[in-house]
Amino acid sequence: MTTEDKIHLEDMMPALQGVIPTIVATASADHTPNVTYISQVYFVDADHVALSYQFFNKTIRNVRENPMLTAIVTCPVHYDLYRFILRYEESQTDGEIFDAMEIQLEALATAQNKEGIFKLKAADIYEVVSIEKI
Amino acid sequence: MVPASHVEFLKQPLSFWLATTGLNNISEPIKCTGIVFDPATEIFTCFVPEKFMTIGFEHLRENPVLALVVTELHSFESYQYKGNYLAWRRCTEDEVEFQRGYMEAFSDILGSFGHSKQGLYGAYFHIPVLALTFQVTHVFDQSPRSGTGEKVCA
Amino acid sequence: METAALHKLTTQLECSQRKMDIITKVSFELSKLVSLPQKLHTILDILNDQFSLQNSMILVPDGEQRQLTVVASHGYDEDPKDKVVPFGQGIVGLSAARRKHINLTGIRRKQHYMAAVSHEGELNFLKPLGLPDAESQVAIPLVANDALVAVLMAESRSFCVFTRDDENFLITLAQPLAVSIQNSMLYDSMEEKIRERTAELQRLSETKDKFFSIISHDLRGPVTSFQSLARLFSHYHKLGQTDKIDSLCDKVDQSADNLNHLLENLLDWSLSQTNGIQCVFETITLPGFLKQIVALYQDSLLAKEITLNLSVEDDLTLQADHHTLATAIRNLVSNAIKFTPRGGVITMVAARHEQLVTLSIRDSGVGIDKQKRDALFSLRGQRTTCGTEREKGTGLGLILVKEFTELNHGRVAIESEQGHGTTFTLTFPGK
Repeated sequence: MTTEDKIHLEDMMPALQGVIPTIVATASADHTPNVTYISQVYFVDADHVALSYQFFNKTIRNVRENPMLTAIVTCPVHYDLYRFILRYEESQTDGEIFDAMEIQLEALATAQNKEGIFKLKAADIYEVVSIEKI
Repeated sequence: MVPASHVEFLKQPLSFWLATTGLNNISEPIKCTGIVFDPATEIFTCFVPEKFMTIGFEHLRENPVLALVVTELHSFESYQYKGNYLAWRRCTEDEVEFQRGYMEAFSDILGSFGHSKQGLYGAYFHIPVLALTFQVTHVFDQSPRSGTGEKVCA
Repeated sequence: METAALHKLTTQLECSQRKMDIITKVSFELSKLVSLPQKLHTILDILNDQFSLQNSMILVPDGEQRQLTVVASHGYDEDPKDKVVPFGQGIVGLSAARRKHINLTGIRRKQHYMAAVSHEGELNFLKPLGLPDAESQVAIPLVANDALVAVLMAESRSFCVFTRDDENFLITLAQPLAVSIQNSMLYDSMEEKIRERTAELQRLSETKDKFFSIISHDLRGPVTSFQSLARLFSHYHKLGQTDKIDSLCDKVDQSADNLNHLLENLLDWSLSQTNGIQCVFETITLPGFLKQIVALYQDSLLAKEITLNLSVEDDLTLQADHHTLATAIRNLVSNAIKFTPRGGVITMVAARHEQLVTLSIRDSGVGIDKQKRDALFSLRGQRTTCGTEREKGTGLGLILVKEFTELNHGRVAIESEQGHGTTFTLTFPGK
């Protein structure tokens, strides 16, 4: 892939707004795959994204054992599919990224009197290893 | 192993995604354009556009374990079926028609959320389509709620 | 490769140029000192022109920072003006409470997900401020001098309308927008203060005019009268006609009384205009108090052969300030004498009615027509009316009656029919 062909995270912001849920696949240490939906992949910077963590589930357990995660992100404008290979780095429970993710969740929840039901447990930060259009 | 209530549930226009994992521990989500479940043998036949299977086949050569998540798009009721890959073949004309019907219904649901029906149909459905079979070994409840992920049966 | 890079650079340059144009236009509009509504509509118009923010609104917080009210909007079929949202609720309330910008898209699906996951059969959306089916919303708090001035909210039925660039640019504009709105609020508040001051000055000017009118006109009469009397004294003295001098003494006495009454009223009125009256509340026993006042007017009543009937309950008391209450009642008695024809009757009744004490003074005079009644207690348009025997007044008497009754927590009512006399009733709280 040439430099010009490389897909930059900043160029695909519409796909990172959670309009269409993202599908993510992880694997446990014994190579058993797990696949699930997540609401949104959040833009952090040119090399990082964050995934919200509301319920402790198999995906969270898997990335603690094996940090690699593959996400299929759909652009809601052109309906192109992108494969993101991500590597889990850390889990944040405060800070700018956590606040930005939490305030979005709360804005939606308070608009329908559901504040308190949807608590963001953490913002899991992932390094973007590669992005590829499918 | 698969609860009897799942048989009817699986006939709905649900969202279906498969996942495979290679020995490098990188997984691959694969969009299915329909499934057929045989309760007698507990074998799933998953229809997958060939263009989405490139990495999946590489993984299956190394690791036969598959995961399939099914989600009802209004209630978000979800289950994950894990099992072992059996075989693949090209879809029959009838199976392609079956998938067209499924994609119509599935795109209608997504269209009701404000999306372009044609856009999503075009993004997910591509011919040629393959039929993959796998034998279920585990079933998990994956509906989004606290404590999700419980094993339904093994 | 070079062409692609050049294209990207050109796009960036065009984008920067566009931003500069917007900043220039916005700066120009924001620098204008105009009223708040005008400023807000200008801002929303610019945002529509430059960012295609077709549906937008500006909300301002209340003093306690508990809720926000829509003060301006753009592009809605139903004007959301005056709608309120509590701090902390929804995108606008939360943006205000946290003072952070929020950009949401895919709203309906996300809310549907929340409703489904919270296991509620039906969606429970609060009534939206603007679009009921918005898919994208952005809320930006406008903060100036560390104070939340307003919240700008824009929304759309489409997905991903507000790009990160747009959002960042709006955040850049937020500060000057906030300062500009704050300036307009200050401007409006100054305008309001100027209006209040102008009204106050107008009132003071009217008071001053009246004061000079009284001094120049009403005081001149008695003084001229004294001058004439002095000349007559001198004249009769030279002629040695002492009987005529004796008869002039009554006139001197009457003129002195009138002048004294006039000066007292004038002094009381000027004190009331400058809030110089200090009320001292005490228990006043009305029978003795009213008899003393009536006694002051015995000569005047006799002179016009008027009968004054006083009826007051023996132990009737009132919590009031002695001086101001006496002044009010003296003016009513004096007024009744003035307008009661020779040989007429004045009835004064004081009584308790449940929790109230009333004092009414009824004359058998000519009555007052409705038009004059409406202007009776106001300085504006006040004209002195001569009594039945050409007695003069200043027009201040009834104004003092009203002001001093109110100082004693009472109120004045008037009933009158032309040709059937007039009744003034003062009503005070009984305890």
